[in-house]
Amino acid sequence: MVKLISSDGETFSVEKDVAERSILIKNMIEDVGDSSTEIPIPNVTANVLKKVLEWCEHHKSDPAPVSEDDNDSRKKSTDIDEWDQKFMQVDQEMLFEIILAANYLDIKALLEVGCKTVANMIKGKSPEEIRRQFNIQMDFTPEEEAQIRRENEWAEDR
Amino acid sequence: MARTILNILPTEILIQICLYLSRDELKALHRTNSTFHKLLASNEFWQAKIVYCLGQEGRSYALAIRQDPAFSLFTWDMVFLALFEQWKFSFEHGLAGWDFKYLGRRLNVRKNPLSTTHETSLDAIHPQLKQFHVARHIRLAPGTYRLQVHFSQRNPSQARHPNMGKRPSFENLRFNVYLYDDDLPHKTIIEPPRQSRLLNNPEFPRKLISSTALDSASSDLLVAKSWNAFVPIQVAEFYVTRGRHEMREWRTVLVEIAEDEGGDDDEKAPMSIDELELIHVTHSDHLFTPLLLPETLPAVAPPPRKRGWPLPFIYQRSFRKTTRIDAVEVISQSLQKIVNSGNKPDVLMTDRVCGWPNIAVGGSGYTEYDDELVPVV
Repeated sequence: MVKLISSDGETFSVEKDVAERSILIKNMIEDVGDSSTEIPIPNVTANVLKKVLEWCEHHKSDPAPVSEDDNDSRKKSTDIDEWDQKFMQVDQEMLFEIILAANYLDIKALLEVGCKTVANMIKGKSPEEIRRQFNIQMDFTPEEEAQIRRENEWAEDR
Repeated sequence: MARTILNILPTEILIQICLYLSRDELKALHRTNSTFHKLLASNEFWQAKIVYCLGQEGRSYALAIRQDPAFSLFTWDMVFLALFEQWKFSFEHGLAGWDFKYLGRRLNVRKNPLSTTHETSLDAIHPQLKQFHVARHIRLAPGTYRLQVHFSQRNPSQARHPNMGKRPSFENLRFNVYLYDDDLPHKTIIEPPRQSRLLNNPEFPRKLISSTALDSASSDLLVAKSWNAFVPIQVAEFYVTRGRHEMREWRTVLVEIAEDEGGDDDEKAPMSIDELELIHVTHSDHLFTPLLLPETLPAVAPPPRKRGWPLPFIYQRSFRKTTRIDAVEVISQSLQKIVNSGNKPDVLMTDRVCGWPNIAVGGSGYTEYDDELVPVV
């Protein structure tokens, strides 16, 4: 078992193969050479770490990721596993925190699922709908908006 | 301040999210907020676009990933050059794209019209042919198109060449647009036909799809406008029928510009066709040519147009079974000619046409050497 300490001091005991879904933790265990040592995770709070470990537990038997050159899954945004889709049904702030944690802990597959989830939230939406979705303030003047529309012209579907 | 996607996620993660978005979705994101605008208008946006674009094509994507350390320095042109097997042409005045061959940028200097076999064969076929222009091996979706020809003529008063003609270069012009179905002849002929071989060659059946004549009044107006300036001429609309293989159908569009009443070419100022623009009328009136891009790839941002600048020119040659040394020697000669003519070479492109090296040397300004070089078809 490996003991992980969240940024707010909570301790999580997890199986080594679950913890080692994180490349960061795996490297730390290898560096320390003793899996019984407590490993601090200073950038991740307990509630986020709990969710991340839940994901790692579910995916602990997944095969090792294929090399980036051959991996075309990152080109598609809809191919999210059903379990992962349900897992990502959290409020936006938690979703973003999970993404940040996955990035920090170097869990590529979780980071990918998080990015795909956000991308799917953007897909098919107008600028106004995206603003509503993410509670973003529209801060353009009409002149700036017209300018941006002109800048975008090259990418118009014609 | 409320915590949102913008102040929680760092740029590199926002970029990763962008990789999963299509062009339209990126555009929408671009217009939501100034932060996204700055993000997507920055270099990172281009990285995302490049990765997204290359991600559609497995090998290219792999190449981009392997070159990751230098990735942020890549411009579109650099990427295309790196991937020259897909990249075909990028032109200063706005034509850029995949699988598009832009040919026939030829100043009409007729100092010695019979100096090349190419010119000879043309004159033999069409004595009054002014110029012709080929956009070959392109993909056209079914629909209605309008073809716009931009041309200009050099003002004799500003000419460096003493033999430049003083008369306007044209009087009555006729634009004929022909469409070739590339799939038919290419099945049996390895080498794509040269322009001259396309003309009136039964081996390459063509279909006249548009013919637009300019009357003398229009011609006078155009002559007045076209001194050192681009003049667009909109050729009559034509309709491209549904191909047998949809967007995989390769076509060649040939625009022939003929003069109804000929004259002594030596007395005429040089005229040049600067651009061909295919406009998909059924979609929009934008002038750029996204139709030349495969449907799976986002459009490439056209470089800014430089109206009023010295006209660019392109030398192109292909080399059949020649060595690298031969090719380099010809490039050197071409560059020297540009320099000798008082101009500055600024483009050097290479790609391959049917397995043979194809070399294009470009620059800005007027040159008398264009007709010595044989355009690649």
